[in-house]
Amino acid sequence: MNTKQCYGWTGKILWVNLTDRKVEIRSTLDYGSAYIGGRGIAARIGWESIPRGVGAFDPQNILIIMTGPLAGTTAPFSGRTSVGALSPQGWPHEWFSRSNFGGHWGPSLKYAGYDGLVVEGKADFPVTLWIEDGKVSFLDARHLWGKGSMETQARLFKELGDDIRVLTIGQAGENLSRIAIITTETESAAGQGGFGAVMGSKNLKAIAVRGSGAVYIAEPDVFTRRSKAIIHEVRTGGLFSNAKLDEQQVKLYKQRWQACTQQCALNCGGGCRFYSVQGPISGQELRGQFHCVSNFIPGIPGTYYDWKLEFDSAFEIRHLSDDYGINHWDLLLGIIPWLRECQKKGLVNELNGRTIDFNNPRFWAELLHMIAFREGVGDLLAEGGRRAPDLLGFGQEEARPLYAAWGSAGHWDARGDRGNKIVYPFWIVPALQWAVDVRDPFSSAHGYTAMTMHWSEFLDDKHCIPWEKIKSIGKQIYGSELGVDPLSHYKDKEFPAVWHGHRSVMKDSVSLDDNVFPMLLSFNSEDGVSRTDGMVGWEYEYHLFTAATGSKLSVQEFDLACERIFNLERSIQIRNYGRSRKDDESVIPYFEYPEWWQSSLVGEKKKLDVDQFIPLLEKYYQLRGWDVRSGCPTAETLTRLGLPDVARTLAEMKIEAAPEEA
Amino acid sequence: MEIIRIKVDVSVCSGCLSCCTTCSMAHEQYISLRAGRVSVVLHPFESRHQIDICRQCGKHPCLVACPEGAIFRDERDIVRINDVLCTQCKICMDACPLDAIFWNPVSEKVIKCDLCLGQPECVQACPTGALSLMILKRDMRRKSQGGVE
Repeated sequence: MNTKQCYGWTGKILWVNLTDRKVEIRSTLDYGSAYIGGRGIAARIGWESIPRGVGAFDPQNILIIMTGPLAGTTAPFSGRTSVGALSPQGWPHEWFSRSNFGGHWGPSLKYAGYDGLVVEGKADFPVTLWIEDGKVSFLDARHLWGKGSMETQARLFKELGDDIRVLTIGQAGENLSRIAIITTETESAAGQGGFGAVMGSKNLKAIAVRGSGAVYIAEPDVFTRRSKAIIHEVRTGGLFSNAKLDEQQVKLYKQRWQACTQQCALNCGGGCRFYSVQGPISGQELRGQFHCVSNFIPGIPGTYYDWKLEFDSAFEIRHLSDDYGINHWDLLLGIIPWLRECQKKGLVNELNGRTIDFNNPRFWAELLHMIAFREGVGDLLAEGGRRAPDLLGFGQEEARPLYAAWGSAGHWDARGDRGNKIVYPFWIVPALQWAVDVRDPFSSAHGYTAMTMHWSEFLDDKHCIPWEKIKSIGKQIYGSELGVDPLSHYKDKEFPAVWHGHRSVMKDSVSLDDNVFPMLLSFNSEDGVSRTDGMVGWEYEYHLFTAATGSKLSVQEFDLACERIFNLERSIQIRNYGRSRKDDESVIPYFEYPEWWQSSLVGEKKKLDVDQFIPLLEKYYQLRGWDVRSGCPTAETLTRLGLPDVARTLAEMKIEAAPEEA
Repeated sequence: MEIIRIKVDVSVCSGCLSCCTTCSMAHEQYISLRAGRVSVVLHPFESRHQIDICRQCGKHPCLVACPEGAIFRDERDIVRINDVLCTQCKICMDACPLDAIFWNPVSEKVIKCDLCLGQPECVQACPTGALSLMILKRDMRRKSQGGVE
């Protein structure tokens, strides 16, 4: 149980070696102020502990599961947890990547006394790691191996008590699918990255936690006041307030609210709902959350998702996919639309003897089964939609417009993702973000697209913030109005790309939800700026962090920590995989496909103009203090960020000057 | 004088646990799910969670069972524990038919809802209306004394 020495943090990181079943405790405070939380600490541990040459499935790959100082507190939307490791889904390398999940597991780990967990090695048979407050033990999980995520959790509830929280993998993770997820509850998961397969490769079936202890706050009164003010602001002036349940769905499917993370303070318009549905495939009553990318399962006419499934069928497909532990993003924005395109062109008509029919729920069920168990062609599909076409020997051409980069299908880019509307020039910032990332950047970077597409007239021309005000906010946060000007073309896009890159790090580190933060805009104020309790919207994260931890960091130092983390992540890719400007530029062909929607203000469909994008990318590097030729942070930049050791390592490897790697 | 009660509608509870954490923070200045005077037992695979909170019920079996006379009903009709008299024997916990009296392992004390003496923090924190405030007039109190809900 915690002792009252740390604020926000519990102060301890659990370091578990599965090979020899050793457990060590390390201090969070060694990382805390320089790396501010989950994703940041994971980056530091990744830098120190995963050398070049290690592969995602090697026992030397370490799985880092870190909460942040706000997890488990009363900060609104704060219950999330970050995962970091070498990523099986990563392409063309198994990059050091990250994912993030909600639910209630992270807060309970804090109550058990730990800020995070690092798992290395490999157990000699399947185990469950059982963390019961201060006690850590390894339970035999052979009876759970082969079971789905839901049954695994239900069994562990029975064995260990229904007040525990469980993080687990399904059969996809056991069978080392590169698109296997780590799940908690019914639809909270570290989805992108294939980290379920990292757990599977370590013979780690589940991590169960019971937390009876406490998280302490440095300034409880200030923290409570700020939290309440932010809750009031988001409920009254936010985009997602005032959602209602659907009466029909309440009647038919017992629809109710579902917090996608502990401490959700809204009737969320983001769509998280819980249902009870009679599954048409199994005939069984299924219960669970249905939200986010699951909304693609019923189909969207006239798009890549042009099929029709009734809600109850879609719900069961969601259930199966969650239960097997398969990444919805890769499935719904990658594999399925890809198969559909291939089928349309006559490249494939059946899988394992079963005719492809996306209107038939049973086809979906069989497809998921073959992926989870690697049956027949499922063995190749389990490698993920980016690798499958090469392995199967067809459909490479069809996959190109779907897979933006790094083994991730498109998202918020106006091309592969045809569910999230975004128009020129607002996909240029995403193009930059995609260019420098190692995965789909947008699970924790909705801020820019929300500002330009959701708060503006593009979503609702009556209930919106006018462009003049949005531009004024752009000026205040990026130093540029043009960054968010709908007629600005390529001008100044490097500023929002850097700014939101850091925001993404910030949210994933202190642990705040991406749908709500950063809270930049508001319907409550004259100028459209979110403000409350003497704080301005873009500093809410900082004020919650300092009141919780007692940290004396200034706003600038807090932002600098995010920049440090961003550069450290980049440095890991450079050291381990020779990441260079050439890699970054590999996203260009994808963005040369024309946009799917078009801006009513621009009046024509646009595609990426390389002659304007290359200079923009160079400006981005310059703004970051990266060498323009190699895309590597300069020694000066790394030293400015307090990373002289990283600068030395990269210099010794002569990487800064040698970008030309195949 | 107005009498207040917390009304529970478990059918809309989202399981965010804001009530539990906010209660813990308000009463203890730290956050623990075991220090909240309201408890939500999450059932992630069921259509309902379970909310345990004292309804200040008229039969007050806790008050009757307490061997120390540490539980009393105050002038606002709130059933409270006198911390000075309480010996942490936990007999009241067994007596409560709603399992709404809790053991806080952090402070090592028996705790129960005191309606924040007028403005329950959990109700303000609840985003969905699973917890709401009922205001009863004095003369309606007898109706609410019919027993546990």
